[in-house]
Amino acid sequence: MEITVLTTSPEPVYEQIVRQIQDRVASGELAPGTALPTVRQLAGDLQLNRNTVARAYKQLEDRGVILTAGRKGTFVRDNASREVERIKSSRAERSVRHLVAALLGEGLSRAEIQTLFNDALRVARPKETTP
Amino acid sequence: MSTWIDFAVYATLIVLIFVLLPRNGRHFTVPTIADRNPQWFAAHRDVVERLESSRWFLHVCYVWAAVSIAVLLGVALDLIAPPFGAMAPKWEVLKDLNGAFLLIGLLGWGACTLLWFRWLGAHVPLAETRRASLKPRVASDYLALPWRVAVETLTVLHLGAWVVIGAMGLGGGARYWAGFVFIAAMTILFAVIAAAVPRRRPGFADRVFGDGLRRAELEAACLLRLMPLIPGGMLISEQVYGLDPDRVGHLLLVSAIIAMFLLLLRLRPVSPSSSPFGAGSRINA
Repeated sequence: MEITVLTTSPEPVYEQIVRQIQDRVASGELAPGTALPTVRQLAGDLQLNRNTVARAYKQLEDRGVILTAGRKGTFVRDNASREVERIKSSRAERSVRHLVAALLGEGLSRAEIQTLFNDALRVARPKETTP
Repeated sequence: MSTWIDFAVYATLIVLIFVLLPRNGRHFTVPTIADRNPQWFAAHRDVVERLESSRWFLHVCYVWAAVSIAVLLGVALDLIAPPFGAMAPKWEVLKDLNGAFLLIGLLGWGACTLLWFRWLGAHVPLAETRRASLKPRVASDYLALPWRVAVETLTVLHLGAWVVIGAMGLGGGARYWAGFVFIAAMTILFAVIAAAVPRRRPGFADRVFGDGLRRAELEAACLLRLMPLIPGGMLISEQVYGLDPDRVGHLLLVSAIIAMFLLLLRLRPVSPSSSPFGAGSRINA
């Protein structure tokens, strides 16, 4: 199981690490209790500063995805996949709220926004069912 | 003991360090560049080929090995006057000469290595896309339990022997216990160094050599931890039995160093697809 980072991506490298570990937790590739490499190991392998990886681990720990147990190492938490789902939901909710606020700011009515969302969902639905 | 034994041990060490290791090291030039930046590697094939075909470092090493062995042989055959201490026994002259040749050669080697990495850092930028495994590395993945148990047992037996001999009155006295403190301090120092090996920060060498590097390092660290047994045995035989173990002890130390280098000599670059570590080398190479 690997992680890939692109240093020239507009997405910060630590966020790329966070996102990829969260995705693997959500997909079940990283099961609860799975040990993760140390900050030092991952930073060395990715040729990154240790602080970058430490920041990613800290964020994952704060979000309840991983648990650092001192010298024993870093592990995926028992309820990590639920936490990841919750994070994804709240991120989606935040995005929708921002979008709705922006559309209201543009002068659209609630009904118009509702129609736009329904249309978008109708277009998006076939995509969702595609494996 | 024949001087030829000393000569054979020193000549083996010289051949190992200045012939076999540089020959082996040539295989790593290209993987090192490919690991650092596969895109640069693909775009600068001409530079890579020039580096790969360059033999000057290898030839300098061969010349140094030939000169070192020729001088040792000359002294062993009495064709060359001993440069230091004409009154010293021949084995001691060989030991000092070998030490001087090794020191100068290794300093030169170190300087060349430094220049190589400076060139690499200046000309080959780090790859934009980098990969790493999410599997943690632990010492027990590389080194079997019997190895570790054997090292711990021998270390405890060695220190225990010092205490028992001292307690039995065979080697009492301030000098004996000062020797014990020295050996115990050396044992602790080497144990600390060995413990740091599996935890050290990985680098390009881990990606180039794969798992083999960490395994070889840990085996070498085990040997290092057993090193105090040699000076320990020397001091006990000198202080308790009145023997002069300087020559045998030195040859044993050099043999242990040869064994450590032999462990490194087994290393080969792993194919990019089988490397368990990070690696840009897997992207395009």
